[in-house]
Formats: sequence, structure tokens, C-alpha cells
Amino acid sequence: MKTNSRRDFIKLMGLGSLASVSPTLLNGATDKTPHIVVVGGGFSGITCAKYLKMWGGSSIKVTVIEPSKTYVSPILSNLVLNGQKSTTDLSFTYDKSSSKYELNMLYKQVSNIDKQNRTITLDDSQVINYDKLVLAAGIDFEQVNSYDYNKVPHAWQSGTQINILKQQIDSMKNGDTFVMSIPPVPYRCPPGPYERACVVADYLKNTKGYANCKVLVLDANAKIIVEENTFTAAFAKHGVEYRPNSSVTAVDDTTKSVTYSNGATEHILSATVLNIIPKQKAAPIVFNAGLTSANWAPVNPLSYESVLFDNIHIIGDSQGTSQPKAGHIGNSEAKVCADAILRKLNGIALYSAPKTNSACYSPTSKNEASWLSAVYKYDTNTQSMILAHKGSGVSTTKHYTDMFMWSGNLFADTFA
Amino acid sequence: MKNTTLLLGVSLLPFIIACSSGEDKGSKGSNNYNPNGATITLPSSYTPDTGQLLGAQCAQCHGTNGVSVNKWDSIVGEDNLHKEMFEYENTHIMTAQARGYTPEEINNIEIWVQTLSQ
Repeated sequence: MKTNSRRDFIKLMGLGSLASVSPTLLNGATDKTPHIVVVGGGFSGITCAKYLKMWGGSSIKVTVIEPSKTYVSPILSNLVLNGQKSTTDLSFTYDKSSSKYELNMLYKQVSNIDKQNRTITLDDSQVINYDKLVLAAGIDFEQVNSYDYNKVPHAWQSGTQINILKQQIDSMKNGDTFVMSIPPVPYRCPPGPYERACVVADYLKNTKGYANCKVLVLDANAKIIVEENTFTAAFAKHGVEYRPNSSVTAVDDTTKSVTYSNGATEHILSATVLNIIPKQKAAPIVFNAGLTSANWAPVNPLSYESVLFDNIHIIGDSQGTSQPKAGHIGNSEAKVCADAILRKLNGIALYSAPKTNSACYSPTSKNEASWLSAVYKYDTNTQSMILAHKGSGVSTTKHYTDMFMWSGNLFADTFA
Repeated sequence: MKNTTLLLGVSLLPFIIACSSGEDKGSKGSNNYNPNGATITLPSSYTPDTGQLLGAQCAQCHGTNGVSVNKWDSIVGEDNLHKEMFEYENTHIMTAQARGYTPEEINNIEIWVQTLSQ
């Protein structure tokens, strides 16, 4: 019997040169260029992706997984409440920057992360391989009891939520009550709730002309946690009633009432508009991946790599350093992270003294704003980011104008 | 790196490499890294640069690669950055930020912003 060699057999089958090629090559996937996947297209995620490509160029491939084609900025969103901005004004898409920086955009949800095999499964069952993974998925909320966010909006993620709250505020009449609650620290955007109370109070009194509306703040914290003097003065100016040490224990979305305790006593308040800003924690994807400790993801501040698992970095609101949670500093962390990933891929030691910064202008009325600033440095003793210097500025009309210069460059640096 | 699936091969469609036109479109800086144009030249490899990393922290307020999109200063080509950063009054936000950086860090950033105008 004639013995056929494998080669003869292949020729016989007419498979030709294809048969000498491995299945991997047939799939067009032998590219050894490191692949970095970024989950989340907000201030930290898209900045990280952009800077990875700006600095790493064609030496890496970057994919961004973001469910929504439009990002609505929470920064400046309190100006939607007083009618000075719309969510359209604060909307950003990814077409131009993804083209310019060669970002592969996947408008999908992640359904699973396999850390061992370094794969991500999407909600359409696509499987994506990564060499490095960056999770930049923002925050999640803890409700004290189940209630409907459409009725009692948090408006602490922008877009639909902020428009719901705006509609509710615009339906208020003279004599109505706006009650807002602030969760215990840490929460996204430290000055945000205080600025919201001021902007709403000013709007009701001075734009709507309602002399008898009540704006009341229940703060779970013991005092105003940032710009204390500025916001104390602004609360006095705009007639905002402030109750510290007030922790929300129950919310009723039918009666628009909130139960809160301050120490031993419980109180119930009714409101026309109830804006409960819930206690916050890392995004579900970070919990599901087993990367949290308590409510946040512990990371190395030199790289934002998880201390619980290699090759996964967590930036922005979800990460658990003591840095504040906000878009500006998320953008800042993203750059440290991008540089660290590129160093690791190239066998270079991490930069040992990274700096991050936070800066934020807060509107306190339709024509005034305050600001805060902080720079953070790495402390080798505690292996954490600590304050290098901070400052703040009182409410003025000049700062209101400056606010749009700051946000304009921040938006462009992030989304353009 | 593990073998990729067919789907991955499809999803990683090659992009056309963007070529810089070299045009500034009205903003300072003549290098290939002007981010406010429609295109930008990307490098072919990564080079660590302390000034670039630290200077990237200025972009939140002064624009990517030091090119501002509004009337706040661009910092491209600044040749006395320390003086510039401290030229405002004590109560100014720039002063508050500047005080967070060491003279050595500011020197490194200055070296980098100088390269942006070359």
C-alpha cells in the first residue's frame, strides 16, 4: 500500500499552502503588539486611552469599551438645574478623538472578566484578549431602601438624571421645599452638593422670583467638607438651611419624604423635590472582578495597578487611594497610569514621584463661583498620595468666568 | 499573549496612521504634537520623559501639550516657567497649584514645554 506523507495528503485534498499555516494565523491574529483595554469612557478612561496612544503610539493597541456613544459631563451639570446649560451643551462623543488617537471603540457592556486568562467577555458574547486592563467605570450607589430614581433622583450621574431633577425643580411653586442629602465621605465631587444647594436656592429666589421656597441640606458629615468658609457664607447669602450629622435612614418616593437620624433621634422631612445623593462605592465591574476592599479598589498610586491582581489598573472614582473623586483628578490619575503601563511594557522602572492635581470651580449662583485646588505627591513612607499643597478662593463673578476657561481646557484635554 | 479569537481579529481593524499636517490652526506650537488640529502624529515607540509626565498635569487647565483652547495661557515654549507660575497674587489659583511643585519639577516641565515649540 502506498504510504502518503502528510504533505502528499494535503496536496491531494487541495488544501495547498493554507494547510501549512496555523489556525491562529488564519484568524489574522498573530499580532504581538500589546493590547490595552480601557473600560469606561469618562474623564479618567478616555484620558488614559488618549495619552496611552499619544505617548505609546503604534507600539500599542488600545481598545475602549464604553456602553454609550455620548458622555454627558457631571462637571458643570448644576448649571443645567438653573437653566444656564443644557445636557446637550455638556455632551461629548468619541468619533473625533478615537480617529485621531487610533482608539478602537466598542460600544458594549462587559459581562465578565477572566483575570487568569486576561480575557473580557462582552454582552454580545465577543471575547477580547488584553495584556493590560484599565477599569475606569466610575461609581455605584447604595440605596438605604429600594426607591425609584425617576421619582427621587440622585442626579449624581449626568444626562437623564439631571434632566429629571431639573424638571422637578422647574415644577416647584412659591413656598415649596427642596431637600438634598449628602452622603458620608468619600463621594464623587466633594464641593458638588454644596454648590448645587446654592445654585438651586439662587435660582428659586432670584430667577423664579419665589421668596418663600425652602432649600434644606441634610449632610451625613459632621461639617462642610471642603471650602467651609465659602459655602457657609454662600448658604447664609442664599438662605440655605444646613443640618450636619444627619444620616438618611429611609426614603419614601411616593410621599417624597426622608427619614434621617442625627445621633439618637430620628426625624422625618417631607419635600416637594427630594434629591437624595446616595452613599457611593466602586462600580459593579470592579466588585465583580474581585478587586475591591471595603467599597473601593486598592491600588498602587505609582501605577494604579490593583494590589489584588496584576495587570489590571483602576483609575478615577472607583480607585481606593485617599485622593478625592472627581473628573479633573481622574484625568490626572489617567496620565500617571498611562505612563506606568508604558514603562511596564518596556521594562522600565515606574516613575517614583508622580504628581496629581485636583482643581474645581463651583458655581454658587448664576453669576458667581468659588474654586478649590490641591496638588498631591507620593509619600514613600505610607506608599500613598498625600497633599503637597491646597488652596481655595471665595465666590466672585471673576471666578464664574474663569470656570469656563478651566472646564473648556479640561473637556478638550479629555475628549478632544 | 494568548491566541486571539477570530472576533478579536475582526475587532482590531487597522486604522490609517494619522499624518500630522504640521499646521497649528492658529494655536501656538509648531511641533507634531499639536492636539487641536484634526490629526496628530503618533510616535512609533514610547520614551519616558519626566518633564512630559509632570507637564501633562498642566493640561487640565492649559490644554493638551500646553496648547490652550481658550483665553487661559498656552504654556508651549515658556522659557521662564517658574516666574510665570508664580506671577499671580497669593490668592490666585495658579499660585495654589504652583506651590505643589518643587523647583526641580518645574525645571523638568520647562525643559519639556521648550521642546513643544521646536
